[in-house]
Parts: sequence; structure tokens; C-alpha cells
Amino acid sequence: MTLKKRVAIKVYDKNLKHSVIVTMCFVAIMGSIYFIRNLNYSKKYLLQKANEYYSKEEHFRAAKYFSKALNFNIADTEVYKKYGTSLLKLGNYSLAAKYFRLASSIDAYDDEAYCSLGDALYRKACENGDKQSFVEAIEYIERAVELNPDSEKLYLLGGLCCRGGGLYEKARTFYNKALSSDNFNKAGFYNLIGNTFDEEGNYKEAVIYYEKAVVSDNSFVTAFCSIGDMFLKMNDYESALKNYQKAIEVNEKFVPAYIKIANLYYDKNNFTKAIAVAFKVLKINPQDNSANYSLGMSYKQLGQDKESLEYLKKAAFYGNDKALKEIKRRNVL
Amino acid sequence: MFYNKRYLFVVVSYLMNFILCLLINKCFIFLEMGFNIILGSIIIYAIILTSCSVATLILLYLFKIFKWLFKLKKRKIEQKFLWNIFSIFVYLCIFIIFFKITEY
Repeated sequence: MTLKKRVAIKVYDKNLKHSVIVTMCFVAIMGSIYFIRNLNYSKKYLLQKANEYYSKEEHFRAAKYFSKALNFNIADTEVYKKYGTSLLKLGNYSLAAKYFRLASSIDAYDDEAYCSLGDALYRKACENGDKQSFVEAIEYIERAVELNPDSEKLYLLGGLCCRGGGLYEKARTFYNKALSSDNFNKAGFYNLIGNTFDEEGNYKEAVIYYEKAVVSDNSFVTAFCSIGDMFLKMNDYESALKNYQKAIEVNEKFVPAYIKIANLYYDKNNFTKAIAVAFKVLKINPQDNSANYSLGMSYKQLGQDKESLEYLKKAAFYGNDKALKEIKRRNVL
Repeated sequence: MFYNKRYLFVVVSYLMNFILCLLINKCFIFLEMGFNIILGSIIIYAIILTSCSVATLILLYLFKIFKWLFKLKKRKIEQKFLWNIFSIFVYLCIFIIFFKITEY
């Protein structure tokens, strides 16, 4: 072998050597940072950090620390419930339900755990459309109600779960139970029962309960509008109009009632009156997109295209999708 | 770094990036945002390489502008020098992402 070849073989690739050293130092630094950050992470410290973030409503970090703390085999209802709540806020309903279940398995008399579990299952069911989750949620809420019959939230949640699962009769059972207690707002629950009949298509029964709501609280404007809506569905326009007007008598700045009247006049081809009512809304709130849309469509029917376009553009600007579609249809955009 | 064995640089940096993706995945599992690790790491690696290449090129042009402005002697910028800058940027990128993730 010649000298040159020997030297060639002996010459190390210095660049490779330096690169390996730099890379190893880099990896060592990263490893030490990771190690130092995870050092002294005792159970107490992790729970303290988790509770700190939980109280500041920083649920992502709170969940992170709760999950690390749970690696220490903690079996504490409060920890499970807080972790579950953080997961619920983050939208991870399945995992939240798991931890609420664990909380309720430790303390079978904790109505809050059952309520939260029902809530998590309800949200999961709404996301997936899974009827079984609705039924499961209802079971847990029923247990919570047995333990704490004075919580309005439970009846409302129970009713919501039942309606979500199409179980209207069961929803009414929840609401009727709430009504039998004197602690709650009766008008609200009568209104909710009316809503269940409305969703079932039983408008006459819905009217009865909306009227009960109004008798219980005569300033309940939404109930007047709901009665009007039911009469509209039964094609009784006169009664519908009367009830919308009653809503305005109670609260003259209640915009939805005006909008419904304007729509009613529009449907009856009384465009001039519809315009008059829509202008009343604009006096209360010039940025109301429904009123602007109503004006736009009424002017269109009267053949006043310039005014029609002006109000449709305003409606679209304030967020009315139907106005936008109408403008596109006219190929103006 | 690894100028004579660039394939080694790709392998090493990809492995570091893969470990980073494992950490990121572990972090975001609460948001049900866990992703396919291999696909995710390839995408993130591609983003890192692209952004570091762009940064190196910007630095190169800034250097040329600086030379032109101050009428400095024309010196040819070595390919090795550029590769080193690029590789340092890649390591720096991985380090910054790692540092931020460990904060969580």
C-alpha cells in the first residue's frame, strides 16, 4: 500500500465527527430540559397546578396536569369531577363521561356527578345522533333528581335529553315534576311543555300550555309569540296576529313579534302593511337583518327594484343568508 | 452538519422530528386531536425543511445585499457554509417546537 493511500485511510471524516458530537450534545440538552421539567412532579404538585389552571378556566392545561396526577392512582371524586369538567369544556365527551362515571362509582349519593355524567352523555349523543346515549343520559339525570329534587338545572337538562331522544312524554314528566315543586318559575316550565307539544305537532295542546305560561306570568312575551306561531301553523291568521300584537302591548320593543307580523302580512300579500311594520323594527334597531330582508322582499313584490335591492344589500351586510341568496339570484354580486 | 453524509442528516433530523410528533400527539389527545404519527411527522418534517430552506435563502440574499450596499469584497459563498446554516436552522426549529411543547 502506498503512503498516500495509508494517509487517505487514516484521515478521519472530521465533518462527520463534529456533526455527531454536535447532534449528541443537542439531544443531551433536549433530554435534560425534558428531565428537569418533569422533575419533582409529585402528586401534590401536579394536583396543585391542575387546580390552579382549573380555577383560571385554562382547561387544556388543567386536563394535562389532572391526567398526570391520575397516573399516581388517585381515587378522588373531586379530582375525577374536575378532570371530567375540563374534558367536557374541551369537547372530549367520551373521556369526560368515563371520569364522571368513576366519580359516581366512588360516591353513589353525589347528584352533581350524575348530573355532569348526564350532561356529557347528552352532548355526546347530540354530536353522534346516538339514541342510546340519550337514554343513558336520562337514566343518570333521573338518579340525580332522586338525590336532589330541588335543582332546577336537572329538570331542564332531563327535559332537553328526552326531547333530543324524541321522548316527549318523558320530557313532560320531568317538567311536570318541576311544576309540582313551588321553587321554580312555573311560566318557564309551562312554556317548555308547550314546546314539546309543538315538536310533536300537537298545536292545540301546545296553545293550552303557552296560555298557562302567560296566565302564570303575563309579561312573558315569548309565550304570546309562541301562541301566535301555533295559530299560524293551524292557519288561523287572525288569532296569530292578535297574539303577536299582545306581545307588542306587553313589550313594545320586542322585535321578534314585529318581524312575525311583517311576515304574516307578507304571506297574505299585504306588502304595504308589511313594509310599515318592518320600518317600525328599524326604528328600534336599524341593523336588524330580518326587517331589512322583509323590506327588500316586500319592495320586490311591489315592483320597486331599486329600494328592494338597497334593503336586501343591507340585510346581507348584517348577516342575512336569504338576502345574500336573493342578491346572487339577481346576479348583482 | 453531516455535509459529507447528508442522508444521515435527513435520518437523524427525521427521527428527532418523529419523537417530537409523539410528544405533540400525547399533548393533544385531550382534544381528541390525535393524528396518524407517521403521516403527521412527514408533514411536519416537510414544513420544517421548507421553512428552513426559505430562511437560508433569505439569509443568503440579505448577505448579498449587505455586500453590495457596503461594497465589500466579492467572496464566493461556499456550498458547505450554506448547508451548515440550513442544518442549524433545522435543529433550531426542532428545538423551539420541543421547548414550547414541554411547557405544556
